[in-house]
Amino acid sequence: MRKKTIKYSFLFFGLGILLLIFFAVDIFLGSVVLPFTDVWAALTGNGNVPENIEKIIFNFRLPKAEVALLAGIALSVSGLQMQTVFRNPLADPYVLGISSGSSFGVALFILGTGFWSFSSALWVQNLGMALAGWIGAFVMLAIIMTASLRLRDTMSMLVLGIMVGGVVSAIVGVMQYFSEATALKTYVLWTMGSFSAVPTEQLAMMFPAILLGLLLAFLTMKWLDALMLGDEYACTMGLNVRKARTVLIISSGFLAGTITAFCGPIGFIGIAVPHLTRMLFQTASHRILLPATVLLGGVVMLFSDIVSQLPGTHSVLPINTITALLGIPVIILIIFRNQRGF
Amino acid sequence: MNSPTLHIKQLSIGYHNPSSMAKGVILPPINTSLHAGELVALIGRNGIGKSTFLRTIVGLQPAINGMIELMGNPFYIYKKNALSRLVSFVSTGITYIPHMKVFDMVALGRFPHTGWLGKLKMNDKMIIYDALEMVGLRAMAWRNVNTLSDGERQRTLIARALVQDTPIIVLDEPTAYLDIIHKYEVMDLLCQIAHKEMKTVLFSTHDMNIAHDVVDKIWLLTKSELVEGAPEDMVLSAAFEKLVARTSIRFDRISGEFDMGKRLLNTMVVHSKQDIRWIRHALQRFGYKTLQNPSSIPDNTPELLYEMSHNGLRIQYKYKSEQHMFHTIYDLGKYLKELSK
Repeated sequence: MRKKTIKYSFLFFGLGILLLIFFAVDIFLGSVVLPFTDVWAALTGNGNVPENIEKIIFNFRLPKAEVALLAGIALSVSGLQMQTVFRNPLADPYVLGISSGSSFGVALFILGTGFWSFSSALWVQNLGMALAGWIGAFVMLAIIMTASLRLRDTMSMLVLGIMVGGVVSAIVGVMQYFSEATALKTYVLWTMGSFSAVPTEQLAMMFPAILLGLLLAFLTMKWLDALMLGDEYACTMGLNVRKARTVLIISSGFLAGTITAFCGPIGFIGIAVPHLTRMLFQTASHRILLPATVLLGGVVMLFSDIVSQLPGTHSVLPINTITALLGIPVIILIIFRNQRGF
Repeated sequence: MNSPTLHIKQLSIGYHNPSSMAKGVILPPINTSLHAGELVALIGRNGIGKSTFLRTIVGLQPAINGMIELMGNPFYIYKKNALSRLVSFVSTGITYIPHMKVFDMVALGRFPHTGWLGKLKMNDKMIIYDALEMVGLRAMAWRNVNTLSDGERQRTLIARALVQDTPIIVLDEPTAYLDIIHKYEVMDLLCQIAHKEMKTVLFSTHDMNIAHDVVDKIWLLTKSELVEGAPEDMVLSAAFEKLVARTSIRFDRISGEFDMGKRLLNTMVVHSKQDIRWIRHALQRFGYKTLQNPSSIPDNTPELLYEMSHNGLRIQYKYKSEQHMFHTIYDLGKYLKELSK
């Protein structure tokens, strides 16, 4: 028992340090190589730093690192919640269709409206896109919640999520076919996911939404433990299962929906990080898993962002390609382990 | 006598059908009660509604009519959390949860007793270790649940119900999936929980032979009624015959066992000074009625000379001019089967 506590403290401490390091590295590295001393001076605010370097750091690198951190945390926590609520190791906001809902909203906005052609200010466009994604995510969330009242079987819920996702992609596909080139390009860029597309004004909207979702997640940690054994046990242990699921799905939707709306659909992190956390901590208790997922989610996403910069080169890869390359092996590992029935 | 922990009045159970608003009553009104320290087995045929009955008692589905009283108060006055301090439930089926430790699984039973964070206090931990001790899993507290045998997993789930600290524990087929040793272990454990901890333990089962040896009361559920009594009462009052009514199975009131009700067309005379219980058992299986040491031998009847000694088994078969010697019942069976062709 004592040994376990020490092990957990050690892991938490290690992850915390790693998170700080990656956050710093994410700021230092980028397509333009900045001298270490200048970056340090700009961040600490003493010494004179060339104006352009200050601009790069405060307008681009710092917000991007912050958004990456938030996205990693939010998507991972959302994945953890969904895996437990739906008692399925492969559940995440992506699979359940929340990301598809968001994509649909954004697609409607970019491709469907003529808004794009009589171009207004860039930030209005950005904000409109984010709002559309947000609305899409929550509409899908409402659909899933309504369905969850009728469908008791968690497997059917997942199938429903995949089917709805399929319908949405089909409709978006049709819309893409009829839309003009510039709009199409904007939409395709959004679907690749990006952390740098989030300007500081939007960060101010994104931050409270994520905070709210996380607060709900921490308040409902104990429910997740009870739900692990299934509805019958949860109910006879005194949990109001229907209420608990609704609150958890709202929390999960806030987290995943917000990130998708602002950064585009980012896959695989939501499935992979909770499993990595379980493997690392060797526990099923959410009192450990939830804070651990927060840390590891941040670490993994910052790492992905660093890699996507291709440090030392002038090109930047879409974040989705990196998360896929990192996440999919983990998911395949899970499938094989489950086969062995361990 | 102390007042009942569970009292059921005119309860009818079943499923509300949402589409037709019709009520699918699957069982007739039930009246019964249980007391502290009683171990009760619910038996009945598959699909008769045992699970539905148990699920109604623990509050997983609403009763269609009638009333359940817990600790002297009607069911509906209890909120979910209060209810979870009175009745705990172990469902049928196996739960796989990766990376869950035995201790953590049992600790989940403290859910109704801990704060919003679910943090275990010293007292909670002591209760958990006591329960693990009782089910014999103290040494395995930090094993991964998925590495346990089915029997150990079932005992873990029973420990989880124990730490929930409720006067009533309801279990849905706790001995299904288990091998015979584990079945006995689990039943013995339930017996201890009921008698030592003075809890009301109600479980459904198909393992009647084992249940007979430990339970205080049997609830026999049939399409028309709930028959109850001590196992011996049930035998003497011919209640088990109701279970097998309109089937080819027969209940033997003397041995307390069921048999296939095979019609025995042939007769075999057995000469022996020893106990021939197992020879009789075998012959019945081969389709022969046994006649032991008769004063006169009927015509056309084969005879067996049976002797069990330290040299082993000797069975001499005699029919008209034919004579054979067998040393195992298996060989005898093979020969008789050959003969009947």
